[in-house]
Amino acid sequence: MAADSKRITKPAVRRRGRRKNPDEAYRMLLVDDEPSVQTLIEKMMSNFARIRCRLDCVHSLKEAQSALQKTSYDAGLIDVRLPDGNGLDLITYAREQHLDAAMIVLTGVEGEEVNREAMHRGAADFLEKTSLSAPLLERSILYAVKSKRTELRLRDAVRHLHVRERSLRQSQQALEHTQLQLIQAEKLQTVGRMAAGIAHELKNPLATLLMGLKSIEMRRKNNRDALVGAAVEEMRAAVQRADAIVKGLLDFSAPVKLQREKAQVHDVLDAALELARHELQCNHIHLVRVYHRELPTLPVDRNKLMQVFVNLVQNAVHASSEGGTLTVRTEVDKSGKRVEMIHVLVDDHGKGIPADRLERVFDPFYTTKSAGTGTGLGLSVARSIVELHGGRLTLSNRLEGGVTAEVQLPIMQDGEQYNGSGS
Amino acid sequence: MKMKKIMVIDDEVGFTRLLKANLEETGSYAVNVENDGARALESVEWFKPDLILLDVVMPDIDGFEVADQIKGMDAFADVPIVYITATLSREQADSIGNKLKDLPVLAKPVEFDQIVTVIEENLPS
Repeated sequence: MAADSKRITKPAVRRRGRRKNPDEAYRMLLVDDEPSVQTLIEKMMSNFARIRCRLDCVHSLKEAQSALQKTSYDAGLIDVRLPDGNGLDLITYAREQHLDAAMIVLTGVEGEEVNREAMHRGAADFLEKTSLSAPLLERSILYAVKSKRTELRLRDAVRHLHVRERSLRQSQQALEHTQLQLIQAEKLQTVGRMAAGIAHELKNPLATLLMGLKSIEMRRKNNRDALVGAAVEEMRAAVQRADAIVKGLLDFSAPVKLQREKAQVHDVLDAALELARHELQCNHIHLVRVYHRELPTLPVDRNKLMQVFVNLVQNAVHASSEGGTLTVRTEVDKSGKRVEMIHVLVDDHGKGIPADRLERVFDPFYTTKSAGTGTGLGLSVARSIVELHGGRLTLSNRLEGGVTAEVQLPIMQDGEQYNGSGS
Repeated sequence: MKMKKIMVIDDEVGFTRLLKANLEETGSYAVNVENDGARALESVEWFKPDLILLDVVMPDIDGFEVADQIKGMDAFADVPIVYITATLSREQADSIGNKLKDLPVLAKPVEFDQIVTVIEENLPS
């Protein structure tokens, strides 16, 4: 029977041994102040059948701590009663310092209470000195080290898992963000289609209103009532405003096709400012132009781009208080000598836009203006026009107050596609 | 001066009623209104218009078909037709040269004075 059991266990042990280099000795630390114990352990280790150990001995808690810091031990054999304290504290110390030695506690007459305490603190095993034998010690060391290594592998795996989880969470967030953008785009498309339908439906009643106002006007020759005249005037203005909203809706929803021609952005800008001149004058807004001395010409849709600039200037005027200053600037980004990007900036000195609304103002039908003064479509349309030019339209609050609207227009090299993915 | 006969074909009842009143108010036009395409085709025969203002989007028979049929009648093939529609914006009308299928077009909402101008431009002298 004894012979059989040996035959069975031997190969199993060899297999286990292969995990560690068979020639490699276990690094062991004995912490005990009794020289007799050291002699005993050394003797037992020399009788080990399966593993080799390289034993260091220290005699106090303090020495043990510094030894553990210096050398990476596979396991420690720790006496509970040490001259400078409780040996069990070493287990706690090792855990706190992330030291990876398995701890086996050597107990004397302390009894069950200490054993429990040792296991509780994370000891791998406890062995009673009085009943110690070489096979028992060997087994204990083997299993302690093995389970410690498993624990370490597990810890690595968990850490790895955390990293993976974090990157997964990031991917998920990116995905959710993209999904939101898609939903938003889809929503805008739906709004656009609805807008087009509503716009067409509105034009017929508007036509009727306009015709009716003409009827009243024609008959008014015989009617000197001033109120009738005022009413007709107001109603005509209202029809025109409604018509402008309808036009905005259609601009917004229609797939715009650009008609590009080479143009100087400063010319387009000046034309837009000319169109806005009346509005600037009415509000006594002081206009400052800070133009870059030389801008390259650019293939743009002059009218559409002008519409963008007019819109930005109008917004700036509405944001400004009477008598304020409005600055229109142009700048360039260069790579070497070549201009890569033109920036057109419109600064107002108004109250600014709350940060959480800086993007919302681009949503169709979102308006900060009082009812009847804006369609809520100006910036939506402006942004889509700029994007069709491959550019970007952004708003930002300046530190010193007021909002800057910025149009970025990329310069394409000859032969490049005007699809906005330029160099 | 003999009054010119204008036929208005449009399913917008309120609009046609007021347009007729305004045109007649000028003293220069006799106006007949039809609010559906099929009846309009019958009325053309007896009213014998000098010019037709024709809506494009109408139920049953749309403006394009009404125009085709009128152009197909020997007696009325040369009567000028002007489209008046809400499906085009003024800018769109401008961009296609104010012609829809070779016929002049007005985009609603349109000022009455503009309608009169276009009528006068297209009436046979």
